[in-house]
Amino acid sequence: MTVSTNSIAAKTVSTTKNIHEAYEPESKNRRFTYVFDLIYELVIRDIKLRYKGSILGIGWSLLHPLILLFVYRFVFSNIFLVQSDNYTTYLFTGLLSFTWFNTSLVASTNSIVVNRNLIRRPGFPSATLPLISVISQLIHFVIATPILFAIIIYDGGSLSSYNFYLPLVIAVQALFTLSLTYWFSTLHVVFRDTKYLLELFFRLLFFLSPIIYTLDQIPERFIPFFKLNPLTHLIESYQNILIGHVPPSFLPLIVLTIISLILLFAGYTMFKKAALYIVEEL
Amino acid sequence: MMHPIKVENMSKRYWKNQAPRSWTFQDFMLSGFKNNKKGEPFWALKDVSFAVKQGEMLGVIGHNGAGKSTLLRLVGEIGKPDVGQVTTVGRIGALLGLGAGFHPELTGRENVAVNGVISGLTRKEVKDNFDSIVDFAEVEDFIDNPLHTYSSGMHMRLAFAIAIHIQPQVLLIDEVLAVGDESFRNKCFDRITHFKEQGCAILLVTHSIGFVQKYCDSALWLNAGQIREYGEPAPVVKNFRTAMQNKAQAIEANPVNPRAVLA
Repeated sequence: MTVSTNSIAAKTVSTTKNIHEAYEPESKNRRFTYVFDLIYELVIRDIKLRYKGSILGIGWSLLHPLILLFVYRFVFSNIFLVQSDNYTTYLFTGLLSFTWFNTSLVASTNSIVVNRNLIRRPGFPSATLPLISVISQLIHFVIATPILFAIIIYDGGSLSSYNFYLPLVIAVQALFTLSLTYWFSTLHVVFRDTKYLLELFFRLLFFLSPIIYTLDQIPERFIPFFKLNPLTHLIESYQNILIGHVPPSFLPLIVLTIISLILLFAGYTMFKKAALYIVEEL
Repeated sequence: MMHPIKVENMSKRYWKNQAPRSWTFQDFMLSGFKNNKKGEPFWALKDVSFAVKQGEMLGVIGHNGAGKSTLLRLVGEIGKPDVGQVTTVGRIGALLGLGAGFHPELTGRENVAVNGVISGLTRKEVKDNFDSIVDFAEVEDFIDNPLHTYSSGMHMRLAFAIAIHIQPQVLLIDEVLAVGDESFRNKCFDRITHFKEQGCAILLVTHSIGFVQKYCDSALWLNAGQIREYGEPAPVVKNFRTAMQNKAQAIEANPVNPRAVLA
């Protein structure tokens, strides 16, 4: 009897204390940690799932671009006879960066629609989803870069201190990709053809970017149009760093960064406003 | 007294017979421009107001399609009311849509890590509560097996165990008290009672009116999106039960066309 009275008394005390504790508003700090942890876990999940059950596992990240390279290299060196120094390196750099941009944008465009069960949970920060896609694709890309260096050596090129500019260009490309994702993923919720149109668009963009040919081979009058393509500048920067052993041209990168920041800010704001609508559309 | 959940004159409208708004190019070509009308409005909720105090559990009852789940979702800020306001204070825990983010290829352990953060825990909190979660779900021996080897009961228990390890200030429950066997249900119920004692405001949607009568502090009867009765559980449940019996009798008396009675 005494025991139970005691436990009731203890309960009452703890109750009053807990109510007090429980109603402290959630600190900014905890929210920040929480969102960071959420991104971390979901990126890990993405990466784990990609290779779960496959024999080659992470090897696919390396093998896939290599096989692509092999085919393109064969076609454009032996059939179309594209003339360029270090053509293998040139081709691989462009391919890698383009493929990254392509898969990253398609995956993040899908991210909202695919994860509808997450968005339909109270308090889930849906704005993290496009970011998670971009980050896991970035990791995917970084995993493949050792192959890039191997190709450079194989191709008779060399590494130089200018390679330290590489993370900078990668960061600009990641930012540019991210700045588009909020627009495309929202559009995809309303207009489910977005994904297909995007895939088609990337087919075209591949041939309109200096990947299989060099800018020198383009007739002079088309050059300004090529300069409007952000990928041209990104790919050119990679090539400057890896093949030309010169710093990237900074002006286009700075302009692209500023445009990306504006697009990101506007896209994020739009996404936030549309979020409640999105959740009902899914 | 503070009200962690406060709903004022909330109405939610959907459109009946509406052309899907998330169309594809194909739909667009097929329908042309003629299908642009909005359809008829349908009020899933109409002028609903209530408040839940700290440590109070409000049970929402009503027939299928009365708007119970819509109500729960709007309080969870999944969607926005067309009229009125919903205010919640504090961290929202939700025993609905459990197991979101679960993946059959991942092990139980990996799924706890992912679903834990999805449910609102930080990584550290997941780690600290890991043993307790596994213990609660009674899946110790299988925690490193892939989830697709779990029985549906284990699956549900694990999802539930994770969700119940957050420290919510507002808890939304959608008919999940039917999980597992008697002893597991009791465990869940103990936990919910514990939240209540800590001052958590609980909004519960259920068809088990006996539960509402026994454990809820107040009851709300929703009928066709409107509040029919709101107050002490005993009289609300009693009237609801009578209404249900009348309806069942009416169907029995007119078995040829039960729809006519229901409408």
